[in-house]
Amino acid sequence: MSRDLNGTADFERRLHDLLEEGVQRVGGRARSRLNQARHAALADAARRRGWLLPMRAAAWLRLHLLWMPAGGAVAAAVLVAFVLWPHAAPQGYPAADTNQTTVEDLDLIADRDGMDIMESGDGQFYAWAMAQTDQGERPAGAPAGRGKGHGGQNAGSDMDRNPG
Amino acid sequence: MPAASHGDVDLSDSSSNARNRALSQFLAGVEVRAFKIAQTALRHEDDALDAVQDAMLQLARAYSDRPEGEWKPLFYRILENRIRDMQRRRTVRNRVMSWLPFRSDPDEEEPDPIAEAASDEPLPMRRLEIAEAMSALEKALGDLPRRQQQAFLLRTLEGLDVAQTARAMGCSEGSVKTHYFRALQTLRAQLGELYL
Repeated sequence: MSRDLNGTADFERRLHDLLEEGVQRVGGRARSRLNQARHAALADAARRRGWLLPMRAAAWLRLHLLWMPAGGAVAAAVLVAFVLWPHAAPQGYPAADTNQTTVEDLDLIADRDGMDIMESGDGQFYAWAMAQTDQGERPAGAPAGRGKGHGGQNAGSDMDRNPG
Repeated sequence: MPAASHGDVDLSDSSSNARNRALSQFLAGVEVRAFKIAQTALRHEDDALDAVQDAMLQLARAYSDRPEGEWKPLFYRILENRIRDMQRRRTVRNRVMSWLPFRSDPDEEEPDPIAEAASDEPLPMRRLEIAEAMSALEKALGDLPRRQQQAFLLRTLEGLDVAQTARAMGCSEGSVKTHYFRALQTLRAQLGELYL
């Protein structure tokens, strides 16, 4: 086994030596042409590098210098949008104070007396409410009606506390 | 000269010159062996020279910026592609030429007087023996399947290791070992009486 391996190794070595001998014997014409080919390849590479280098440098400058402010502006815009996003309203709609609305709705629902008045159906409440609205639209110097004798004391006092 | 490295782009002329020098040394180191490999595959000196020249140009144009350690496998990969292209073209050309009534032998060429000039080697008998052995080896190598021939020459003549040979051939390291072993077996069977 080892003899066979040794024989193979010897055989490989002899083949290698013979191939090397063949390399040494390559003729002058072939060597001359290879030399010319090498110089042509190097000249071509140098020429390409000569006009590629400024292009690459310009590309680098464009990437790193010109786009840097633009990148900063984009980052700032994204940051502002992120901060403002939870409070932003849909375009074309005014912003609403959702907290206040919710509280008012709760008051309306909890005010059982007010609901009874509205559901009584005799129309007095609506007439009174319209009158109150008309008075509210008057100029500031005009006397405001208190509506005493209509709708009870609670309603009148609420309007006093929340003008407009 | 101003220093000039800006991140991933080296803008200096000195770096470019050093790169050119390294590439020149590399090409000078591989060109004759590459020529022998191409000549063994193509069996035609001018075609082999053309193939090596194309491979040099392609390497210098497209891959000279790659790390120097990658040049050799890349170069032989390019060379192999050029050899294959030439073999295909030659096959088509021979098919076309075989239909023409008057054709010249494309492999016919003028003898190279420089190559055939007498050398100063002192032992003509030894020289003759080597010439015969080389002729037999070249014939046996030429008769090998292309992949076996490639694996054998890249390993034995160019001295690439298995991994580099695999990269140059575009196959696995296991395939390289298989091709190389089969080539060795075939050569040993054919040339054994001359070498053992």
